[in-house]
Amino acid sequence: MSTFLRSGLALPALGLAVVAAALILLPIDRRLAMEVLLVLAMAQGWNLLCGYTGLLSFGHHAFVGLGAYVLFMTVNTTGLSPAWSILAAALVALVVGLGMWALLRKLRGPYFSIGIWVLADSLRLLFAQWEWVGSSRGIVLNPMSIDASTFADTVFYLALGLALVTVLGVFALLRSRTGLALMAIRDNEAGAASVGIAVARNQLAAFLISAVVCAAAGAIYYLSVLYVDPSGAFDIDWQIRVLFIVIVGGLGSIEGPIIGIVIYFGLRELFRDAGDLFLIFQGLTAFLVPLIMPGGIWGLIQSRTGWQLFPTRRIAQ
Amino acid sequence: MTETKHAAIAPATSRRSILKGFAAAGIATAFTLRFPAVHGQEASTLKIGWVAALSGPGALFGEATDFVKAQLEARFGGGIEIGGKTYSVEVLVRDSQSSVNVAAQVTTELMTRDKVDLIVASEALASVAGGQMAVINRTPIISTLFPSDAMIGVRGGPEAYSNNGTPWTFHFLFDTADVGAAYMGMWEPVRSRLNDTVGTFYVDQPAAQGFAHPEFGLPAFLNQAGYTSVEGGMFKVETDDFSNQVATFRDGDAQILTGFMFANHFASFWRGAAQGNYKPEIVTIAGAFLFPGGIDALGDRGDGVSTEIWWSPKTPFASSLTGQTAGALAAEWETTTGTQWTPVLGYTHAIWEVAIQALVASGDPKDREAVRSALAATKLETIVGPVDFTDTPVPGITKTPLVAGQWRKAKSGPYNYDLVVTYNGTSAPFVVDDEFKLLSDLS
Repeated sequence: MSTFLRSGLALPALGLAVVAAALILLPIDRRLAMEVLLVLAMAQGWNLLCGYTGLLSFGHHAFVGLGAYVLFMTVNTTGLSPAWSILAAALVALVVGLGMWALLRKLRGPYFSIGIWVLADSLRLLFAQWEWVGSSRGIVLNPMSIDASTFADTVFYLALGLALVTVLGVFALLRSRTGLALMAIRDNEAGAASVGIAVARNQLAAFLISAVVCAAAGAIYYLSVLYVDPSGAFDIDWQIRVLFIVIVGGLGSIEGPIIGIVIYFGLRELFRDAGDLFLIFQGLTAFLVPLIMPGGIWGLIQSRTGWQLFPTRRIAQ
Repeated sequence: MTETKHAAIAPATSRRSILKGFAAAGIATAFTLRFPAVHGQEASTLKIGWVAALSGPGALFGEATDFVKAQLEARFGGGIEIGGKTYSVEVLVRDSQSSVNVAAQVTTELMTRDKVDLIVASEALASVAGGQMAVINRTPIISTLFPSDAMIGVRGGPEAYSNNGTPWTFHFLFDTADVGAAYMGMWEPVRSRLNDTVGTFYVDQPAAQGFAHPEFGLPAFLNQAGYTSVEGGMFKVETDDFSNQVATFRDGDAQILTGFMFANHFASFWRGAAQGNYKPEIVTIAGAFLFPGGIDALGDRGDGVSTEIWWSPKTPFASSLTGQTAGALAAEWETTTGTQWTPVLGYTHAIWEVAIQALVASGDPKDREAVRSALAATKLETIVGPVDFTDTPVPGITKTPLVAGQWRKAKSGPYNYDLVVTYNGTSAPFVVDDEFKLLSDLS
């Protein structure tokens, strides 16, 4: 027990448990909580890729849409339960992610960003033309597959589960050997390569993890809506949200996206009845935070205080 | 103000239009209207969600929101009496931002968080994306401004749409076939003077894809009527150079031109046609000519272009709420806003006619099942025509009348163009203002 306490794991474990308990027990709006949790998972996944391996993706909405479509088609054609179909969504995202990587792996910097954006848009166009998946009309989830009385709770727990698995998974990963390699790449890619870290392999791993997480989140989100269409599922707005959250909160940390989430949804709820004010403040935040705090909000806090809620730093002894 | 309207139609100047939109719309794009009952303390509150396209590319479809909101204030002031009980009314207006994702989000929020008794969707995306959730949450939705057949299509077919006969969503508008029939009927009187060759082109966008569908869309009607098509195909929304299409139609000698696109597309095409010496005799385009601003954008060269007519001041029906005729409603709009009438005004008004009628008829508006049944039993004369859900092939979907006509240079009055009805189909009460004229007859 004392090793556990000293390892610094007690605080995050306790924190997550308290948050999860609060979400489950308090009479909150579970639908909003669900959306927050799913976007948190996406942001953590994307941050693992961009914040640690330096690959700035503008195309992760591809996986959000893909996950949604795979879930809908799996449920509608095989009758598998929606919950299990999330695994199918993750699996397909893994395979498609590998395929995309084959096309993108030689691209660096802005070329990678634009390349994946092009692929995401191509997927949107493909799904909009593909009759089997409903083309631009989109598809509805077969209502036989859902139980109306428990539906809202089911999607909430799925979202909670995904968010916890993602945050804990990323945390565990970063504390492992791979995590050390990822952080070395984050801090100095050339340096990491020079000491024998397989940069490309680690980037591929981060890319696939982020793809799977975004696909699962997309699958659960559109499950909660029961309707998916290409313009919504492959909407670049998903990517922009994640980008905002991670950049404002702080790249390359687990805490950053959590702070970003609070700010994004805080602004949205604050200006819920005020229309464009939300966009104005979102824009101002996106503009001012990087200007004043180049490492995002968490970057500033960390540089001033040295705090770590999720201790991933190694200190040579 | 007129300029803002052009800009809103044409994405080419969208940045400016957004900035102007900020100035014009201020910040009050989503809001809650509260109408306390006169006997406040004993009344319960009726909560109605209103999803409208207040911003984004479809903002023209939400243009009448503020105006109809003011009319509701007159109706709901002091609450509403139903079944001998007075209810306070709260109308929660939500902006869909013309996005299917936002529409889904705000619609489900209205159901699960605000727990509204009814959702009025002058933005059809609320019913497209929130329709399944309406069944789950047992919250009725009324929607309009989207072709009926397209609504059934996106919701997964008739059974899925109507929840196997117990619909929670109620939608009224004509369908694509009505548009096709109206076009054929409108052209018939002048057909013998032309070569039967029709040029077609469509913007690549969901509503247009239904329109371009070879079996159910316009091509089927053209084939059936024996026209020869010169196909210009589908083009991307971003397109602004139409020289290929101009050449195709000119070389194919297409004397009739039709299709589906937005006003900015047609304006670009029309400039190219003038330069490329393509002079069709009939130009009937869906979408582009819906709003007066789209014709104004053509300058002097909009005279005689033709369209289906959703609603206009000449629509021969009156409101069940205010007793106004279509002409009176349009006139009130024009004095209040200082801009020409818009077809969405009639439908935005009519959807509230249906909503209020159903709430009153339910006897207990807090009982959603009662409201649902009242909607299913709705048979009401509205300002857009009869809305009758009692006898329809697909429960929860009904059609409203559609006619067709031509925009003509206004001979008097403050606006550049007037819309005249030249074809009234089978919708007898509509008066035909004038016969259909070829473009060369008008120049």
